[in-house]
Amino acid sequence: MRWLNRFFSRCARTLGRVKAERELAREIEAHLALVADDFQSRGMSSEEARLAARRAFGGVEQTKELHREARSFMWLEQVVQDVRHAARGWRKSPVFAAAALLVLGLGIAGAITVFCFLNALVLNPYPYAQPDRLVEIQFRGKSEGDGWRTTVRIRDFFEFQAQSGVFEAMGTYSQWRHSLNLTGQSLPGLTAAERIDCGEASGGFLRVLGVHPALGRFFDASEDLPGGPPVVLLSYGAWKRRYAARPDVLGQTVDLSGKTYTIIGVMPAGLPLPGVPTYELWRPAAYDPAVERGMRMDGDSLVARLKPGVPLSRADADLGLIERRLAMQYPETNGGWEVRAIPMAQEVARHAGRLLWAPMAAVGLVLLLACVNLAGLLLARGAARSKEMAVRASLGASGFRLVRQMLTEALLLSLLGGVLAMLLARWAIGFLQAAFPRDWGIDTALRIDTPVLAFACGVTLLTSVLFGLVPAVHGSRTDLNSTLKGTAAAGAAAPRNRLLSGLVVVEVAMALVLLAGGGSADEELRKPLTG
Amino acid sequence: MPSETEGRLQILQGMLDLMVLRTLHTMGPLHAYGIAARLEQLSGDSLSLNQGTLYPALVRLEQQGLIKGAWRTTENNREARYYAVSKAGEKALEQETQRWQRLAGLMDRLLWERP
Repeated sequence: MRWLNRFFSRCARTLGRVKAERELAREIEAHLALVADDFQSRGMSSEEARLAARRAFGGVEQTKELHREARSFMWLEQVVQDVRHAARGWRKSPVFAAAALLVLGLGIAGAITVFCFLNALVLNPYPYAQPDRLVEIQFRGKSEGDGWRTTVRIRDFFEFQAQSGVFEAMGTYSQWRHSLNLTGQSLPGLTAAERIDCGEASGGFLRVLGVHPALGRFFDASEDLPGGPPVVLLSYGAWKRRYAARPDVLGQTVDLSGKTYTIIGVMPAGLPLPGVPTYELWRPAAYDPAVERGMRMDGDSLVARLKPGVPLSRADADLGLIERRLAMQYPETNGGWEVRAIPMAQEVARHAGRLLWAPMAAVGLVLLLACVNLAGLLLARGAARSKEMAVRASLGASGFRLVRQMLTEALLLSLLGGVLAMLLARWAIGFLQAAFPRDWGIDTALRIDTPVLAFACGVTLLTSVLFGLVPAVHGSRTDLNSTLKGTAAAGAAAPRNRLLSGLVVVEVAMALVLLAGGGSADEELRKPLTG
Repeated sequence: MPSETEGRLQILQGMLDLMVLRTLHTMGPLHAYGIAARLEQLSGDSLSLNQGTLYPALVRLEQQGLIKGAWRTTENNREARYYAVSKAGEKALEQETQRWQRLAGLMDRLLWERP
């Protein structure tokens, strides 16, 4: 590992601008002392000699400035040289350049695309006001093996709403789509007798989320009652798709299952709720606590907004107290049940994270695979270029200079690959936006913003180091004598071949992992979202 | 254009690099003052050279790997950075000398050409 130490110390020296300055000051100081010595030996006093030395030297600061300029200019010149050299090499072997760019572009594009999802759904998922106060309320039965359920008994919802003091608002929304028959007056683009997916919400659903309808209003308490006036809200997606976002939809009617509903508003864009399917319409749930449906936990989630400053633990205690009261009142349905409040941000992240973990790992592996592939390509090219390197080394190019030259080439490659990847990713994201149900809000949440760009730059730089370093260091350590004499064929090729076959082993292993992972990711994605 | 001030020659950057290389080649390792003193001595005062102007040339040459610097003590027990020509430097000196000679020959022929 001595070469590694040497390599890093060289890097450190190059970075040591401070050291260079100190060195220069020391050298000029020494210079002036020497000149002054000379003058003194010719009979000047020490003071005279000092001044004369300064005169002979010229401007000290000016010299330092020129020195600095020469130093930095040289650095730039070398970079330009390296870039030009790399470009010339690619022109000579365009197939290599094209293959490398394509591999890199695809690899990085995959990473950017998945990160875009991660960024939209997990890192920055909430368009809602004060998302830390949003909770989902979950229940667990007494029988062993019962997981936490995200659905609520309607009767319990009314009890919690009436008794709890820690929430600003509570509301439910349906996890299941209600397929309704269109009869008579339908939506544009649909014919009568087709079915349409309708969601249901109740109570202060939008107030809990802290969002407002995109248009019109949400239903009020008088409409959210059994036998209340039939009103619906369009989903944002349906409004854009079917009505071209026209504002005059308010007041229009739609006939569902023989009943005429009035459109009173449009839901806000992008409702990233855990496990919400695509709905075209939303109507009031209008629960009737008396009917049997109120006893089952079959499809409505309970969400709530904590009052400001109320900690989660107090919400849990409050809910637990009510649940115990309910257990005494209704022992046959509620006996032994537990309740808890889970921050919604965490819930959404859990759902999205479960979906995204596998793709993220997969694109990571693909990118690594691309890097290994490229490292192999560069190594093979290094074999062809070992003579060139040997000649340059014998002409006095330092090992560090050669490593830097090859790293510059790698960096340039990955930068171009990154640009290509950005274009590919933009196309892929556009494609995926169109592929997702509009109501998920994914089309609006997915965008290439600053974090995504930063991620893309980081990945690009990382790949250049990943695939560039091994071939670069390897290539700079050529045995001058044998390479130049052309006797290296048998001897020097051996370690390179070993390295290459090692890379192939790594590649095959990763491809296998990817294949196996693909299978289980597919399984994971097929699991239902809820639960 | 190199110009003359008070009868003293100003020199071009590339020329100075070559001068430094050649000086080190003939004299062996020298510090900056040593190089300056040698150049002044050779030119017999016809060269206008602030000793400080040597430094950019030295850093250029060192970064190109043509010379190598190292701290040593002088015979008077002062410390100084000594520069020596590297292998690559010798090679560059040879090439530059040839180039200079061709250029000088050309200038010579051009300037003394009879009308």
